[in-house]
Amino acid sequence: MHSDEHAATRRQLICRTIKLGALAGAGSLASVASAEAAAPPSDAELLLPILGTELLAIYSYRAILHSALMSESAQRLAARCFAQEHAHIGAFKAALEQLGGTPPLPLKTVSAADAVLAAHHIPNRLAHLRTERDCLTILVRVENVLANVYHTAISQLTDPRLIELSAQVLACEAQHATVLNLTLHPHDIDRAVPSSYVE
Amino acid sequence: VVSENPDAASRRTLLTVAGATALAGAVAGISACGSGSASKSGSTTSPPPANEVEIRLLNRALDLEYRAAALYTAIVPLLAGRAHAAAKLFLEQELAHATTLAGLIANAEGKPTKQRSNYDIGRARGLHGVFEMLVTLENAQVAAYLDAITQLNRSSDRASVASILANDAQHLSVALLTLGRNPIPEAFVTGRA
Repeated sequence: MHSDEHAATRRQLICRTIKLGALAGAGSLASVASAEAAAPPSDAELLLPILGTELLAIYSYRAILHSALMSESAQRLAARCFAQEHAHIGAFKAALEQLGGTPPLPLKTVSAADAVLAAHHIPNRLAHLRTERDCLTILVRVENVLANVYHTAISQLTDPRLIELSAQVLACEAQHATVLNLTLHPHDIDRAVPSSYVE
Repeated sequence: VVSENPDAASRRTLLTVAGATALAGAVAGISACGSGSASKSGSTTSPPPANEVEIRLLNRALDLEYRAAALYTAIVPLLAGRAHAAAKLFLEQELAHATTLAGLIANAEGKPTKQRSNYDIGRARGLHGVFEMLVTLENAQVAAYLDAITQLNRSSDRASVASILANDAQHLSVALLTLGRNPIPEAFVTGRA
């Protein structure tokens, strides 16, 4: 919370500085502001949204597996995906700690997880699970958010090992989305592999 | 999930493919787009580009895309139902990848590999053999993109290659599923599963 407030204050300062620079026509203030605004995020900073989204995935898979709302085959598939998400989180947690960063804390409640789903514009809620379809729909949407987070990171990371690792995991999340979608819509290959580019 | 053609048994003779020689017109059309931009950069006599490694790796990936397109082109007419729909969709996606790669190579001042008139895609017995072949080829593509991705200078190129790699990994999952194998064999997809 404290860092959010700090970030907001810093953003406000940058905005104010840009406005001031533009009004005064003075290059110095504007250039300071643009230099700050253009500073690329560090690799450690880029790993934070990855870990945050993986924690959402872990929480969602666990809640859905415990709900016992799915068929045996869907349950088996979700359990496999869940185990792979655990492997991802382990690898990126270790990478962040090596860079001196502190991994975010796991989500602890359904309402906290639902708030994160909402923040990612996912309309479904873990608190309202009723059917297998509800469960698979949330999982597909979380996998799509994960793919997007990795894709975004790949274009900004600088460490080649992290770039390669992120590409491997992006591919895995894309596979999860495909097989979950095929469980949800068994006859619809266009939904399972909807685009030539996973972003 | 992708069903086999009920007539598969009667088509086994046809599926004993000893090298696909014909690519669909679509392949030629798309690759021609790529080579069009390539011929511009290829016609100059300037010294070799600084990013030769990058260009070589992308060209290797492009060759694999052409090879995959050749295989899908060969099998689409032999499939029915969901398998047909999947192969047709994946053919279109491989062609899109080839176009994108040719563009990336041209942007890096390289000359995109030209599509060959024929590809020796090996021998397959029945649908099972065809899907085994697809697994091998999609795996090879994933591995090639992973080799290339850390060598790319432009961040936008890395993002493009990653998004193609992930799509090929999806093709791999569908092929594995069709074979009755685990469609998500690796937590870290390497193209070697």
